[in-house]
Amino acid sequence: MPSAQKIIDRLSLQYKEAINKASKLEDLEAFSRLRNKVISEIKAQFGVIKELPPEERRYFGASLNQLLDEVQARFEELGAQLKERILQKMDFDNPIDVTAPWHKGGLDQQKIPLLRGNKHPLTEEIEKILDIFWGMGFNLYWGRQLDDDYHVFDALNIPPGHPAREAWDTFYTEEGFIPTTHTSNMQIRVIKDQLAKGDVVKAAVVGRTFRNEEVDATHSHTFYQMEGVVVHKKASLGELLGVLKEFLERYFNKKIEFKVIPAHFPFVEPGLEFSIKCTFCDGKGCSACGRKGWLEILGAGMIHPQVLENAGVDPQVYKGYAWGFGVDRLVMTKLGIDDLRLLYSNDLNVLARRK
Amino acid sequence: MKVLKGWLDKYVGGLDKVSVDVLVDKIHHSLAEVEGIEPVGEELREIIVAKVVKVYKHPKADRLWVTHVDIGGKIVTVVTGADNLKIGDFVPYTPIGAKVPVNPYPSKWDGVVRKKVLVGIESEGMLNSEYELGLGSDHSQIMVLNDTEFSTRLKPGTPLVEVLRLNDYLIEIENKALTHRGDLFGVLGMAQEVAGLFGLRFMPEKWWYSGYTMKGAQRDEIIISPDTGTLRYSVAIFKEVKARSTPWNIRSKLAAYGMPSHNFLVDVTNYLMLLAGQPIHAFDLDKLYKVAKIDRTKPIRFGVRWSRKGDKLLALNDKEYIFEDKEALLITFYDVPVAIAGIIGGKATAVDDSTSNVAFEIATFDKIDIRTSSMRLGIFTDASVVFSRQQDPEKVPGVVEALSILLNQRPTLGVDKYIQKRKIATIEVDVDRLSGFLDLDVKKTTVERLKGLGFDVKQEAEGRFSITVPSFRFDVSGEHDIAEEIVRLEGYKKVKTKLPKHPVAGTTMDMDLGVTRKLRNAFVTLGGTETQNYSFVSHEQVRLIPNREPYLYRITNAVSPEVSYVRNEIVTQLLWTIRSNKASFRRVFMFEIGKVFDKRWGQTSEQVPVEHVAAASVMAGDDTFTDFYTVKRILLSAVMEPLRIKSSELGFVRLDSPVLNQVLNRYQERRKRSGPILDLKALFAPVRSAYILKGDTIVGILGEISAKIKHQLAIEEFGKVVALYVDITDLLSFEKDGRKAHGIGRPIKGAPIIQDICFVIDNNTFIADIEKGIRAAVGEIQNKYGEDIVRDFFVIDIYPYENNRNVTFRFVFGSEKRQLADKDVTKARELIINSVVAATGASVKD
Repeated sequence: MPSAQKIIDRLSLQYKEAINKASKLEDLEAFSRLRNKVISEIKAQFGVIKELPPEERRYFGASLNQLLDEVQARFEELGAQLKERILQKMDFDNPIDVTAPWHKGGLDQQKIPLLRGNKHPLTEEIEKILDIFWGMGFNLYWGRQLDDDYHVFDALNIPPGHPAREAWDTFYTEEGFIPTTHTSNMQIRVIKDQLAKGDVVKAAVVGRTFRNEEVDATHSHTFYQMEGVVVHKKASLGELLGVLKEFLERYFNKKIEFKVIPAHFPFVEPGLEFSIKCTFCDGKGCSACGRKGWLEILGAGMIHPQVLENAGVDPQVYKGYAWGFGVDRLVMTKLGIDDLRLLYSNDLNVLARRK
Repeated sequence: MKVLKGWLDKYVGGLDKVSVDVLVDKIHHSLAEVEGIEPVGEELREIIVAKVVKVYKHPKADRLWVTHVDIGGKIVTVVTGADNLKIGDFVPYTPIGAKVPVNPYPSKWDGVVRKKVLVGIESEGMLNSEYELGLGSDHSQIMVLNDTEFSTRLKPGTPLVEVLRLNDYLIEIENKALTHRGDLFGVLGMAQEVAGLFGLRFMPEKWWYSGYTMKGAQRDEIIISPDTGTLRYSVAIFKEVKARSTPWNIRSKLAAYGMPSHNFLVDVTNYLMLLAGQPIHAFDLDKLYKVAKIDRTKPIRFGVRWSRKGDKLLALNDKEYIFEDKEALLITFYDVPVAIAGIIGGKATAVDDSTSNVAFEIATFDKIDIRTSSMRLGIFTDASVVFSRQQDPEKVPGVVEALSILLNQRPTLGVDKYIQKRKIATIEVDVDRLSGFLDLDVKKTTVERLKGLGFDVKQEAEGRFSITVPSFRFDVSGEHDIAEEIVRLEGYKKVKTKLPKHPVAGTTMDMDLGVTRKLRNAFVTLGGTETQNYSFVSHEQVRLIPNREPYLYRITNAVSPEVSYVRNEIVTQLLWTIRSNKASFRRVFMFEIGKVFDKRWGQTSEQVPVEHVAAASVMAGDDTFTDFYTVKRILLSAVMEPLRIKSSELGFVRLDSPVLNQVLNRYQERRKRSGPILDLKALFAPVRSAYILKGDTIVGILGEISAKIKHQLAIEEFGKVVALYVDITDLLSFEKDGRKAHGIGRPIKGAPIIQDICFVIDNNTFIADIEKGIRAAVGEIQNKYGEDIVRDFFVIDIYPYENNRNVTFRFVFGSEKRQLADKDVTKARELIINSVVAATGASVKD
């Protein structure tokens, strides 16, 4: 009858050999076959316990367990190293000629698999909106994303400490830069840019905007805004309302009825909120308008003289108006999506759902 | 901000005839969006008035009393624990089945009154304390309504809300909508506005804006630190104030706003805050001396100053504040902090039922001072909300008079420090100018409607007016502000809409906008699906590439963990995106175009971070098409072709090329400029990926995602994953320098001559080396022919075998001057072959 120590010694030796062999393998499958074999062999030795004299059983069991742990740990380590080596090899094997147009064959090799492609619903809508403004004679701009206090707040008549800053939960970088809270950060830039070329500013700006909020079904820290800016010598409130009506009629492709209520934004005076009779239910009240019968579309107003001055324009000579609205909500309303997160989920099921 | 309709009615002649809906509609269309209308006393609806007809001690229980009360045509028995009732008292009664508004034992009872037998006597209903009705803090006795004020309405069975005149509405307007209108945070201010909007008469209390003066003592003083924006600080001292209960007209107003009654002095300050929009703080004068450890004979000495490090105050909310330097604006007494200015008082100096000598603070702070303190400390009180909108210092004397009326005694002493009297603005307006600006027919009568809002209107000439702004309108300073007042008064409905009359010509599109649209269209045509990833990345995403963290703009205050850095490339996010789609898709082709930022690029002339536009695409799927050459094809078709960049203008250098590092080490600037692209190397399999060069600038990277990264991100199931990334801004920076004149595109006389040459190269030679050889021959060809007759050349076939490849190039020859014949190009062909052979050691296969 073999004594416990003997069996353990024999197994240790066996396992050393196996490990040695395993460390030379370059094939994951062979490696795991060997590993499983060694481990099941060690495990099988537990059956020997009952044949041992009772005073040796306890020692034998403990030693065998220790051995099993060691072997398993060692194999795990070797396995990880092997995986690493294999991955490394995969990355460095089979170099190719990156300057060639294709690997082998003739011109017919210039193929690309045929899949159905889609624009993102947000960009689709943005392009549509930009096209309308383009058609109405607006110059188009892409808004800056990372900006400074001056363009986001100060230039817009919102000095530090101004309570209006409360309205925006603002992100800051270490350097004090701001992922812009609205596309209005472009206002004085586009006014300067266009008045350098002529005496009329007609600009539409699109851009990503950011608020420091938790993401949920109706909130997002990232969303798209559209901004309109018009400055010329005879700009007026009636013209602002006219332009908004014209744009929305083109956008919804039907006559609209609108209402205006006063609103306070420091960069406009007068400031207003522009709502239209719900285009989905004709004002009867539906889920799109929250049963109100009206869709709150945008905020607008006559550009504050101080903002015009900040853009280097004499407010005695020039007047202006501006408006801004969120694109995401418009897209959600149009597509009947009720969870804002879907727009940024990048779930192909959602992105490819549309015709 | 909430305002009680019935209270407004009192101060606006005829408003009681206007329904709450009409009022709300007017406010909505002419002032600001109304958030809601809240019926007042809703939870008191079921409580009625009962009259005590019999009261006696419970025969079997020591601490219980039995009452018989008349609840209107019916007498019921109610057992109660309170001992303050006598026959003839009117009391509130909650019938069986109704709920007590404020449940005193929420853990033991659901608040619903039920029939109950108390030590042998059945009790049907409940008589209530002030506390249970949410009207006060007293829970020791039953509320008795015998006050003469309601005597005419006190009949058994009458609803309590009618007796207390609580059947009213609170109109709620969002605070944020009125940041500019501090004057509307009191009922009287709002009443003036509403009167003006409706053209009704404003009938304020007689003390409103009165010129009341207080008597002061020479030695008393207020020290206002000059680094605060405090406009006015006044203290009115009332001595030997007799404690008394708050009259019901005040308590019912407080109750309507949901403010329980505390004690008379506090109730009075709350009442005046609601009515006049003037927060008032009541100090116990004796406690002030005690806390400051100052002899009672010394003069009064208040101070307004910023906190100093170590200042301490136990506030009325039972929290102890230990301040930092300049953290909050404080009120001091002999320099000892006694209140946080405009926000909350100190506990140690608060008035209580035994207070005899009171110091009322009636102050006008700077809204920014108060808002700053409030934000820094995170304390938001009714007072801080009001003071965060600018209040009018001219209001102060009238409020002192109101206090003296309510306390029924004159202040014995007063100290008033008025730092700066504001200059009253006068604005010249012209009706024609206003009409043009508003597209509204502005007439003399229109301008005169401003009087209703408190403006002074004086006609200077025909169509010209001089308008004096009331002291409480901090938001009005120029003609544009008057324009807003006019359009609010007239209504936006009257504005005549029109369209601008400008030629629709010469419109421009931001170059990046136009470019990205072209690329997007091309990607979609090829089968790509566009994604929109956030402009922010998480720590984990940043760490996927070692050592890049210092170059990313870090967001310091985000509430969402995925918002940690501003992205400096897009590939990482696309890898995350394919992972999130792996459960449903075996093959994906996604792209994204967006803005990226990197600190290595520095700042623009405006001192804001340089921003680049980048395009990225990822294809995944175990598919014979998903390899380096597919993604290269996509690069050329979706990015380069739409931008009219030919593949011959681009260079491709394998990531493991030693040449590249040598070049980069020589030009550190280039390393900075292409930093994010060089970082991306960590994601790619080096020998099956390449940098994209335009000129000698690295503008992108493309190839196979490395096995290690696929393993790390658990996207191995896809098999091959390939990606491309191009810095569009860098790519296009060449356009501005002007494109190099190229042989391609110039006209050809007659038909071009097309010839193929097959080069045999070994596997260590790149096709680019052959192309280099071909280009090197151009100079000699030009010398020989007087023009560059090589109009185009490109690979048409590759045949790899053993260690060699046969690469067939097609050449397009043509001349501007004459029709070429085959024999004319023999020399050119020879020059090309010689050059290629010299450059690469290739041989030519016939």
